[in-house]
Amino acid sequence: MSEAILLEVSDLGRDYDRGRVRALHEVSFSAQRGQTLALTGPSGCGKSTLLSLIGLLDRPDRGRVQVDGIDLAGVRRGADFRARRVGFVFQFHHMVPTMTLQENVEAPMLALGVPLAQRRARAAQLLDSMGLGARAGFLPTHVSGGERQRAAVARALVNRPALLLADEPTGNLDSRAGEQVIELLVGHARSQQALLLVATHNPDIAAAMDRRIELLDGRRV
Amino acid sequence: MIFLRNLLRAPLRSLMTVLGIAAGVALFAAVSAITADLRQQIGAAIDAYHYDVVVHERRAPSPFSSRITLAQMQTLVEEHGEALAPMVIGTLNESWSSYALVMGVEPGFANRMALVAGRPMVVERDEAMLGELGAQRLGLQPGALLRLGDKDHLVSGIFRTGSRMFDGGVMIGSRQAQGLFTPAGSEGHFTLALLRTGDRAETARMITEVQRRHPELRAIPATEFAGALRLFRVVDAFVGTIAVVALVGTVLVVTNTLLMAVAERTREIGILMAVGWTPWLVLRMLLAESVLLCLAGAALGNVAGLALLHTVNGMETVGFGWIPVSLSPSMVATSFALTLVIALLALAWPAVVLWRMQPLAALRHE
Repeated sequence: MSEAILLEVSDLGRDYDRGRVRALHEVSFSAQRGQTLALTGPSGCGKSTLLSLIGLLDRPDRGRVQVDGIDLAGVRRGADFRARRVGFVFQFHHMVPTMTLQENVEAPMLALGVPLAQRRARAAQLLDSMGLGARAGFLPTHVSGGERQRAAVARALVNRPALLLADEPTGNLDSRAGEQVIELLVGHARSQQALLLVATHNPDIAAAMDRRIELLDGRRV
Repeated sequence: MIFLRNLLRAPLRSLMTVLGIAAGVALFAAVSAITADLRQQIGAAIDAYHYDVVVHERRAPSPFSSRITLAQMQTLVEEHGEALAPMVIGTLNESWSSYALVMGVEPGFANRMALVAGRPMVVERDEAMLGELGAQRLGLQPGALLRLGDKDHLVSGIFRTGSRMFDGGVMIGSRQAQGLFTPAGSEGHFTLALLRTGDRAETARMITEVQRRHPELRAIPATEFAGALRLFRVVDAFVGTIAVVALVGTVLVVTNTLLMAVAERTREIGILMAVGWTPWLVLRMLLAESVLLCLAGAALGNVAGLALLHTVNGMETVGFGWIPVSLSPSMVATSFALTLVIALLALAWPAVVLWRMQPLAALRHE
């Protein structure tokens, strides 16, 4: 693997329902640090499955994923891998409703045992940079959808991961809020030299990325 | 704060769980307090008179149901003289108390009682000395009449032993007591005898001596008297059973609450796992909730236990002074420690569920 390549996906396949449903057929591609990639295709084409396998939320039936030279098949402590190397942004923000925005953003740092003072400072700084400083102590139900999604971006970035995986991050937002979220993700990916993969239906978002990978029925087109 | 917010998300369920824990703690604390206190009361009363040995019938299942014949007691008195205090003990169902403790004693014992009012009774007459607690509850002073059996007894004095159980009772002459507790036509008997020895070596020697000379009797150190009472053996077994039932029941209540929390928050747990939380970290959050519920239950349970003791103590059928109206600090500490054990045990099943949980499946959970 070349030094610049952060992610290498080789012949990746995933089946469900005891092999009756093939969600992903031998998908391969590689990507470098600081790149932005759009995963496009219709609903059910395997975009979310691919992101789950890259982010180690799930394990493949065939093929392999390497992140920064690490073969994920050999990673036993998946939680630690996700906390250190992956930042997820989901379509429906997925904030914990009983945690304030600040506590939600601190959650990935808690997984790494970051001391309280450091957690507080880092989360506050990120929320400030997203224009959410005044909302830090609010519960997710007490802020707008756009603010929730920006907080979710802050949570994804908080441990400075090498991989940013966003699954329809603007799917539930109006166009203005959606643009803000994409700007934040792309901006941080470039400034932190992270690899951003965005699964999207939206052609405008896909056009804003460096590359596009299109899937259809679980296959790369 | 997160733990509190999580618990307040289902306030009624949290409240019911706390009440369930409190009920278990209250029951355990109240019953344990009663048995511990009864032991302490009996021990304190015997200790107060500096008697070292208790002699009772060997075949009696419990010292209080012992029957020592008049002839046996006569021999014991001849052998030990002033050091021996024969005693008749029993309970009566009277109009003024349905569980009146009556102690029949000899003049020497009666004259040594510490009185707070009046004078020692004359044992040959129908006179009685009333315990301070009983006198307060009945509102009686020296000079008043107290009905025992079919006779009125003149209250000559009010005594205080320091043991609530005995201070809730009444003392009369041993002959009068034998009359009360012996069916017409039967020979009277004593219940037990207290023996003063002096030191520990003499106590051991005396016990051996009494049992050698009187194979039909058993002599035990006064310190072991409470433990020899069948009542306490039964109560100990009862308390043990209640403790186990309360423990298991409470663990199940808390386990159910935590399992419901895990089921309802599966997607949130999936989110936390997606951002790097291990099952341990999620379990730590649940542990905090479990501990919070259990500590609240323990606090409420101790208050409820105290209320229970006051209520039972006020029941006329129980008898004066038999029920304590306070919980010892060690009892309170034990109940809190026990609930912390419950908080841990209740996590076992939710922990298995968490360890089996797959992050992706949890995230997609509806």
